[in-house]
Amino acid sequence: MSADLDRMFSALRTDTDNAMLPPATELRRTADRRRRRRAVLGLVAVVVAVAGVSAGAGVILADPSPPVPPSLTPVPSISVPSPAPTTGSPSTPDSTGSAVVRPGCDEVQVFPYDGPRPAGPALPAGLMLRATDFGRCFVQTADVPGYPVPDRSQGETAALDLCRAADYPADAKRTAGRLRTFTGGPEVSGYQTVARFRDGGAAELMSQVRARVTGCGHYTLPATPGDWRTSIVASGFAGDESMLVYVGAGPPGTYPGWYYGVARRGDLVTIVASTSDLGGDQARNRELTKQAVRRPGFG
Amino acid sequence: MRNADGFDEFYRMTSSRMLRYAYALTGDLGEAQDLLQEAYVRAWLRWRRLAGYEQPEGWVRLVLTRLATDRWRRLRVRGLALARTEPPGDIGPPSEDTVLLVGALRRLPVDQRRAVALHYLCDLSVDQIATETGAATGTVKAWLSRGRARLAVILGDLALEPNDLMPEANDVG
Repeated sequence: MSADLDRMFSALRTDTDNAMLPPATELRRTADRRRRRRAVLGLVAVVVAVAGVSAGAGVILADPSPPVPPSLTPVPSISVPSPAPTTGSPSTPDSTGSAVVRPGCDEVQVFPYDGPRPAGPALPAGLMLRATDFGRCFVQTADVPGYPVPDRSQGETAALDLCRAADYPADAKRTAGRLRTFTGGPEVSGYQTVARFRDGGAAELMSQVRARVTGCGHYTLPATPGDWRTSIVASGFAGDESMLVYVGAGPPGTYPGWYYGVARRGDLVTIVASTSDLGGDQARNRELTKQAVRRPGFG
Repeated sequence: MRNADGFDEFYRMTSSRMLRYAYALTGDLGEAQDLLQEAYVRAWLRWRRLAGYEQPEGWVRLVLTRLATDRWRRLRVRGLALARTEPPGDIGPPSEDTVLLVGALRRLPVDQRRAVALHYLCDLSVDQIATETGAATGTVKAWLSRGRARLAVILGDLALEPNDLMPEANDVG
């Protein structure tokens, strides 16, 4: 390296050595506040249409940190604190949570369910994906009987609020449901709903989602500022009919972007999402959606 | 309780190096400080696990790289930084050499800029850079060679056109 370059690099070293940096304690405090806030908001966040970019929680979820990708290979279950309540009433947000520490995995916090209020009878738990389906380091954070009914007046959103924050007409035909949420680390989450419909509502929902996505392309929502794109990137890979819906700021495959697997078998429809701070993984969501409709009793 | 002392020590030992690296990648010291804080916040969130890594510093550097080279992520970190209650400390003006160098670094392709920063500011060997970036050692050598050559050309051009970066030079003499 030339003497000039050497001198310049030395100057840069000196300048940065003189720069002020916060004490480590302040960084830890910031992180701990974020963990708490993220955990409280997280359950709401995973239920919104654009997982990870809801107001408030977005900046936290959009994290490029490189966690070890969770494996899809099931492993023996690990004992963790009880997941969120399984009663019909969501509880008050808890700011403390329960820490779950497992060998080789990031520490996660399990907080009581704080998402949209569930309604209707519960579908059997056996229909649902388990934490191990999402990955070795995942834990179940909520198992909510009934289908979620967002309170629009409170700004709550639903999983498929694509293009606009509004229910689908077929939602009125839901007769039972179940919702589970999962976490695999500080910025890694999973989500699944299953709902049963009457009078052909399941097929209608699929058609309505398809029509809404193909009819809008770009949109913005108050809860998720920005120009969002949505498209169907795959179809017909699971159940009687299925689609993989992409939502993101750019074309599929760019960051930030996430995928929702939506599949129907008979009168049951499942919605599956697995998101991480690295965005969504098309193949992973597709595989999870296939697994979901293979569960015993599905359809 | 995670090992706060271990994290604090890690931060104390590595943060200056990381700041240099972030500064070289972004070309903006204030932004580099924001990215650095964000990277260490994320490190603490995972500290229980990271502490067991052979090279937790490499993990933080990878986060920094991703933050610094993705415009959208940088904007988000900016948003987080603006939301902080306490503003960052005063930053004195950088030296002219530093201004010239970071200006030149910004004109390098990302791979070359990263390799040059890792080698000359983080003191990593070619082999270590190859391990960290997942590239072959030959590729790393090429990045460094081309990066140095290009820096020399850019800095030569800048020397001929000092007014572009240092308008105050006009006032001299």
